[in-house]
Amino acid sequence: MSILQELPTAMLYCIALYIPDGVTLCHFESTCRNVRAALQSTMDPWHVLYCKRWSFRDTGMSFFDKQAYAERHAKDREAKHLCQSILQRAATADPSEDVKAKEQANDKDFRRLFAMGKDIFDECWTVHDQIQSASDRERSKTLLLHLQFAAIITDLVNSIHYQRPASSDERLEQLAILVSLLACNDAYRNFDQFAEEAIRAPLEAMAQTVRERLTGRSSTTAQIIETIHQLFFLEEGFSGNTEDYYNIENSFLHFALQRKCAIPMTLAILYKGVARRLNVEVHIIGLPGQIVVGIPALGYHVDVFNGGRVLHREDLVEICNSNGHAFHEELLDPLSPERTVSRIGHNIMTCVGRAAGNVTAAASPSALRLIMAISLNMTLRDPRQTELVFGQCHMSLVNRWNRLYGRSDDEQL
Amino acid sequence: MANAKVIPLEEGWNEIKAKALDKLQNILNEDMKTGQTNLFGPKEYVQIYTTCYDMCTQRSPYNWSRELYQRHGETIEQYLNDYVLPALKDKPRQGSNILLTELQHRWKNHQIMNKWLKKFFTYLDRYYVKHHSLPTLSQAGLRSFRTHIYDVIKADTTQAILSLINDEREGKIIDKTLVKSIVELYEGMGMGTLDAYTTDLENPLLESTREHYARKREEWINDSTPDYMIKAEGALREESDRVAEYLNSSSESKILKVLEDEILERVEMVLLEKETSGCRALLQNDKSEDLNRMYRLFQRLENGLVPIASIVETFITEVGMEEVQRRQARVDGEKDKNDDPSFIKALIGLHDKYLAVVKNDFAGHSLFQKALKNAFVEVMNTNVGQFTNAELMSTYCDRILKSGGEKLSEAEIEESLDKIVQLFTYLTDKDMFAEIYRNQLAKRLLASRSSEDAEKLMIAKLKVQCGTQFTSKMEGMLSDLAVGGQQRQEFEQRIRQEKIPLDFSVLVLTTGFWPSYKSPEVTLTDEMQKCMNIFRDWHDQKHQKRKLQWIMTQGNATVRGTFGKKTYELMVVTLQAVVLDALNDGVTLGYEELAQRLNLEGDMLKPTLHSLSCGKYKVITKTPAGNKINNTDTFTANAKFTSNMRKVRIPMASLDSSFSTKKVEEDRTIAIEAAIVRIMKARKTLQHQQLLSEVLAQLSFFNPNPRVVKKRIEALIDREYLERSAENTGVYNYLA
Amino acid sequence: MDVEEATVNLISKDGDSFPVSIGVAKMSELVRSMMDEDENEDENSSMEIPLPNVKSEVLQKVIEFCQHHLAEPMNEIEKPLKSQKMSDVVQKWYADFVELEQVLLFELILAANYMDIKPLLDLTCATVASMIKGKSPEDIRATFNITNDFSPEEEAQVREENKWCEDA
Repeated sequence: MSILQELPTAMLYCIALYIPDGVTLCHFESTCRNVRAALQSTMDPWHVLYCKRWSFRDTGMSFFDKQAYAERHAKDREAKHLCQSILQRAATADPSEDVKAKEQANDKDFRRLFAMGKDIFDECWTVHDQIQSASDRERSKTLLLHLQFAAIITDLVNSIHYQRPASSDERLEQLAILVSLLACNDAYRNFDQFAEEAIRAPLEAMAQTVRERLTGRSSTTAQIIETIHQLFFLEEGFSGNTEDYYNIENSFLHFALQRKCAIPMTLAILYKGVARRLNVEVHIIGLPGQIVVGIPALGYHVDVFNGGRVLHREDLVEICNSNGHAFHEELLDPLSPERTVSRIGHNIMTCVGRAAGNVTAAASPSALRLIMAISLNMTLRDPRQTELVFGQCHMSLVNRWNRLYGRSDDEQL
Repeated sequence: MANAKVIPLEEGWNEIKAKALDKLQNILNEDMKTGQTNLFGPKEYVQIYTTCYDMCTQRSPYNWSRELYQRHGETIEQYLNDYVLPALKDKPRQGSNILLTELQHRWKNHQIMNKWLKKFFTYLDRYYVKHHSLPTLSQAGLRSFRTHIYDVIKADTTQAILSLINDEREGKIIDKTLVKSIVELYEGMGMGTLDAYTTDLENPLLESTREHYARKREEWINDSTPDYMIKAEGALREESDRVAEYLNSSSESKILKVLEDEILERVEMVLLEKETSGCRALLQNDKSEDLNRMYRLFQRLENGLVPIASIVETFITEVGMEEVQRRQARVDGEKDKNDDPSFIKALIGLHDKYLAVVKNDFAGHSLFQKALKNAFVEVMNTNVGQFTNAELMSTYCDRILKSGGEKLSEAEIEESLDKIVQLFTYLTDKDMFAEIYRNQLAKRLLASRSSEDAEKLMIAKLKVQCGTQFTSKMEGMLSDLAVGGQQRQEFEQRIRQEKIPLDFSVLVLTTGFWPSYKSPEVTLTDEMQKCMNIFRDWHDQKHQKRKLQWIMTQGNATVRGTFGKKTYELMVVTLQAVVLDALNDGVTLGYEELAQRLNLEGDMLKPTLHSLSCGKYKVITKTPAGNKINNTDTFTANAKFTSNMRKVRIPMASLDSSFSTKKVEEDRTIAIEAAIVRIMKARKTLQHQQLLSEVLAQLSFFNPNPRVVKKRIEALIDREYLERSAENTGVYNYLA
Repeated sequence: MDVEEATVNLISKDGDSFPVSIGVAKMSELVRSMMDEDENEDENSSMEIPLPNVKSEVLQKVIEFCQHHLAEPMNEIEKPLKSQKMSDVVQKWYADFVELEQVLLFELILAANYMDIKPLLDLTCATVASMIKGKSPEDIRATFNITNDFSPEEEAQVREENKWCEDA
């Protein structure tokens, strides 16, 4: 009998806390009864190992036991295999090969990787680090960048959707910024930097200008809106892009901020971004064929595509009719962030479908996949939510996706 | 190496019990000497600790951690039930102090017991407690005390404390340290929160406080308001001190709120409205200290100051209106003139007084500033008689600024002007004031009857209040004079060259700055004409683009007249000089002749003749005599004219009406239209109501009637600046 | 009175008395809790504190550790260990300190637990963990002389549970 075996449970537990990896911990556990009993009485060592291995930011909200560790360890292994098979396929360039089949196989692996979420990202980097050939490394790097975005995006979408930060306006802004991030390739390596520099800072600057112009007078909502309009539409000159309406870049916030023109949806999100920083509530209203902005405090709507002109009831009816729809009250309900983003996805798909003008890197298949991932991610969680949350918009999105990328029925996402 | 021998549960437990637990209990049961801190020396302690340690580290099934933990709890519980509870049970009957003292003693004991038990069983806290997410030993001990002792005794304890507090409120002395230590017990029983304190002590205390002060309120309410307030203030202070001395600080705001409810809020209106000592009475009798107290007290309530401000506003308005009524009486009794300095002075006095009241008694609070403002707005815009207050104020300024008017030092002048401007801010029709003031200013300047510095001062003050636009014409007038002075010197040199026996100078005014004057084409004397020509030539050389128009109704002249042996210097206006010249050398002329010769109409000639023949200094004789000038009269120089003074000023009524409201109306129309156009140009489309409100917001010098604005809108539509929207007639579009 | 000179006597299980300065002694929470109350330094001085669970040999090592720790505090050891070599994780003195035979090492663990000296406990446990890393169950048993007391059924169950560790 060794002293180790006879140590009090508490001591065995202290020792276990220092063991640096799961496999060793397992082995230790399987040495004798006492140790096993000691380790089974608490899940702390597993929690510590989990957080360390997968760089988990421990907020005290989750608790990982041996099973969680085991599952993730298995996921990592699978991811490693998938990465390797994708890379292998890319490496061999046999002209006699069936390219389509290869594409499909890649696609399948790719989607499988996505579905695993952020969890497998580190493992993929490990695979990448072991690659010898330079060209393979390049390919792998591209793959990883997309995965990185997928990892960040999935994580963020989840945190945005499920943890419900701040307000639904904040949620919308984050989701829209996410979509815009996709058009940047790796100009911005992380979400926060991009969000801050390319989008939040300009919005804040505009809001600040408005604030300065309003100081000294007590500001009614009407005055604030007046000042915003003066700045946004007259001075900055934000307007609708009538010349190149179907350019996919019109859907991205940072392009819109640079060029001062875009489609109604993007303009509406920017307008809302300024208004909410001045504590004025505005709503995004999805009329058929055009997005307009509603200002509840003043009781009217604003046409952001046409210089912010005021829209009265008749004008709203007119817009619906000219897009071939009858007007009804429910159309004036504000769009939720999820529905808004879904509509953004819809817009983007339309642009791709028309293949109009610049099909930039932003329209590359993988980027589009990622956009779809955002829109669809919420449905992956709970299929029942699909109909409720997305309604018609979503179904047409799914249909388009299927047409473009030929998903077969027996595959499960 | 741990002991080879395994300690059985009961054996180990008995050892601990004997050496530690029983001993501890005995010590506590006998009265401990205060200051005895180390009840167990290291040797004793280590033994007990080691036993416990061994029992907790033995391998299963001999690991007694769970049992020890349980028994720890049981020990405490038993002690509390066996010894502590009985000791406390019968104390409530014996009186508050006895109960509290015993409780304090027992609580201190418990803290000691808890501490030592924790020390003995401390190994449990290290692992067992954490792994099973149990309360730590000290927490468990506290909870035990709470369940077995505190929860049982708390109602009685609270009662005891409340009765002591009531005693203190009635003036008796109580043992504050005792109460404080029991309060600390309550705080401790919350175990990290203040819940126990709040629920078990604070809430009942608030209740009893409420009752107590409700009673007091009934007692005090019959006092006068100032007396009541003094008592109220005292009570607030007393309760505040109480909290500081022995209650938890979080109670302060709650207790004070109860007091504010009971003794202030509920009776506010009663106190304010008391006939002889309420707010109005205090204002009337200038009871500064009482008003200030009132302010301090009611400021605590959320809307406490609103009724007071309302009473103040009403009062000041009344006092102001009394002045207006006095003025009305004067107007009814005497002739209505445009000068009523006592009225203005009285208003200034009132304003000063109540400005001070607001500042000193009401700490300059915005509600009261507003009350003062509202009151004065009402008073200042109540016009009585033929002349508006705007006019009266302007005339008051005129008095001050006119040299030969009130004799005041520079500092006094500035002060008076300041105060006038303060009152001025309350006028709605500021543009009316501006117009009147401008006219009077013109008179003063042309007559050189004021100090330039003083004029500048006043204009500067008005500019600060209303902006450049308001005072631009006035400033223009002043600059004309400055330029004029320079010009005069240059021209003087020129005219000397001509060797004309006339002292002649010209003042050039810029049209637009000055009121409009009539300019009759009167026939002048040859010398005069000559001088004018010289000037015109001289002037045209310098300023080719400018056109001169001679204003004969203004201007002064000095005429040397010899009546018999004596020579006088007559200070007259130009027209009078011309008439005198016509009657030189004793000629007699009829009215019609004079009119023809001089080329003057009756409206000019008659007042001139009147001033020379029917006034104080009759330098002309009118035939037939009388006070009215008829077309059939004849005039000749009065050879018998005498006067004590060598220099005689012969005044004449002004030939221009003082000012016309018509001009102001015209200006207003223009201002409204300009505002409408400006707004529509920016907004392109506006609904009628919105346009109206924007227009009103832009016009700061007067308050137009909405109907007037509507008329202006229609006028602009006619002139095709705007149009009515086709879809909605309530909406206007701008026509570029 | 010079505080540095104030000492207490720690008495081992074997009866040997070890004088240590108060600062060093207070590294043990157990000792500290006995001394906290006393305001009077005089009383503290030459206080005798028995430690019936600790042998002299072990107590000596403990005191050595505490003395050094007072002068050069030990770095906090990250959980889990980032390296198998103790010299990568703590300062050299401490790495050398734990180069001991197993029996003494474990005695130190027990003593540190008994006397409640957290840094020493951390150090010793980490050392043991570093010795376990990377070994198979058999190796671990061999190193520490552990008896495999599982029944065959239990053994099978354990193997089943830990299947995932075995890399393909």
